[in-house]
Amino acid sequence: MSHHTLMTFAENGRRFIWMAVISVAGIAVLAVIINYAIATYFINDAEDKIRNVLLSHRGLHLYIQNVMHPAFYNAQDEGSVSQEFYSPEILSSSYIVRNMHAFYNQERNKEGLPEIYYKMASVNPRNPVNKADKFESALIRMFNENRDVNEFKEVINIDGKKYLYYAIPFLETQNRCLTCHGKRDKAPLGLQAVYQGQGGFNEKTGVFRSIESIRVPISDEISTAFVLTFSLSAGLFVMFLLIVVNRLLKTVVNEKTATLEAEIAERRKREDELEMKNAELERFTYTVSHDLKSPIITIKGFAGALEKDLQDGRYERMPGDLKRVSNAADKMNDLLHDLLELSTIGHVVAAMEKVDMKLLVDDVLTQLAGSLKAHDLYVTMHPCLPYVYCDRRRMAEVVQNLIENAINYMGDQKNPQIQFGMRQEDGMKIFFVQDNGIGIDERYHQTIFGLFNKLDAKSDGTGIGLAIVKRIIEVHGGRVWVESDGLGMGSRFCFTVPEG
Amino acid sequence: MNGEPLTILLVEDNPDHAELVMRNMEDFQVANTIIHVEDGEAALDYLHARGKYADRQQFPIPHLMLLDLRLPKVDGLEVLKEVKTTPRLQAMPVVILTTSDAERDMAQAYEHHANSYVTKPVNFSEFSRLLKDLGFYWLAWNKRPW
Repeated sequence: MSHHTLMTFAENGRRFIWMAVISVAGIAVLAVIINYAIATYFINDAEDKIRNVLLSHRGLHLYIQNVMHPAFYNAQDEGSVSQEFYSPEILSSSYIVRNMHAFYNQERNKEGLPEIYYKMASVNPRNPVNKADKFESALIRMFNENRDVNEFKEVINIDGKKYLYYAIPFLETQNRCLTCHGKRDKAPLGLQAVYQGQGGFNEKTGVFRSIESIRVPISDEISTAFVLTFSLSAGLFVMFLLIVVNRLLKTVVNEKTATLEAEIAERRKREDELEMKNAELERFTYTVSHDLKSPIITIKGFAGALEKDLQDGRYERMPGDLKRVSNAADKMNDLLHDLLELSTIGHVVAAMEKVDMKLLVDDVLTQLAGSLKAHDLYVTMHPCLPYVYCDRRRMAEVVQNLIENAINYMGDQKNPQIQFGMRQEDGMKIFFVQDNGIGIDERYHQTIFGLFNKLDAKSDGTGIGLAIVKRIIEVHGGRVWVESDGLGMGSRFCFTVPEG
Repeated sequence: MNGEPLTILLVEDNPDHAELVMRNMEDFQVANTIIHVEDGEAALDYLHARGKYADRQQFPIPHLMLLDLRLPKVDGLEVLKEVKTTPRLQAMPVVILTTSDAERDMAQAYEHHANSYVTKPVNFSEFSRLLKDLGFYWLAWNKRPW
């Protein structure tokens, strides 16, 4: 695994931790909201239930007071019942509703439902069971002082269990209530006989004298809410985790894939290069074997011919034949030298350096001074040649080869000219050696750079010069080509050297 | 052997090899004329009676062509292809005489209907015998349709 991949892994890890922290916090907030919503829903549900019970109780209170009491008083007025008769079982709505609720709980029990606690609490009760505690008294006072508040609810804790406590003010005391709740001595004698003391007497109209309260257990609901919240949050968290892990894996896989693809591309490129090198090598071996064999045939052939000349007494042919043998040996020597030269270019690239092209060309021209003078040639040069990065010795070889080529293929030009020039094309500096010699037919513009490919069998050289030029330029990462309008039109050998 | 003048076209870029061939051919006196050209282009000019070879009387279609493969300008194989796809020329025997014993060269030569493929022997006496045999076989023994 590369250093780079390790880095990205570490980066991914940090990113992962950050995302996890943020999302866990997010999920926690969400969980609180969800829990609140679910609990509120359950509490509202419980509240509805309680309100129903209380409303039904109030209905009974109202029935007793609005229907039963007038009927009863009517009966008293008609003399069917004594004016002094009183019985809480028949006349006290508090008593009746409380006992009705006891039966209600009994029925709930039968159905396996939990009992619902109900209490009517009064500051000044007749029956001590209805006596308001401190909290209830405060509530009664609160309802009397705040007439627009008509209910009170709270989740309370009793013995570690949660209950929803709900209270509403009892019916406001009215004139007709004072029959039994006014002054004790004005109340029916039967009532006075049942209840001793001042409890329930001396009430004033327009006052809430008690509250009705109910509490229902909601522990189950709250734990249900908690379980629901927990499951939902856990689900969300797992989902989030999957998304994050998925994304993380995707990133890693994508990176890995990109690396692999790059590697494959690189390998393919290398394979192509290798294939090209192999093909080149094959061509090379082929050419070398052919071209080295050629002088051997000449040498052996003319050695045999000499022998025959000797036998036949044709002495006049012998110096010529000997010359041929000698030339072939020289040719072979040249070939071996050039081949060695060519084979070293590929792997011996000395350090690239900043080279002043003008000085380099000057040096080459000094080297070639003798040859140029012999051909009565002068080389003109571009006035401001730039610096290039190259292997100085190799680049000098390129320039020398190209200028020598120009000299060798001048033909019978009366006014021979050679120019070392430069032009800009697409921001690229193109160097060129231009001559007005024999020129090159377009058909051979490619082949002349091949090994031992000579257009003129009689011309000097081994046919390896342009192959060397091509090799050197390619090792430098540049390109070499020839421009010529055809035979007799001169040629322009161009090459590029990448800058920097 | 009906006494008509026999012509050999030798296509050979190496002047030394050409000299060896011509010297041997002269010694055996199998042909009346040996015309030597140094590249494929000149060979095609000759065969198509173009340029300086325009005179068919002076430069008749050869009775045998000895063709080297690696040639300047137009490759030997190209010359062979053109000969064997030109109706007027395709009956002419073409013997590939080359230094190359590469299988690919031989395969390609036969693919394009070379009549024979021989490599130049290094040994001088073998070289001589080969040319003698070639000359006698193709010019004396072999029957020509024209």
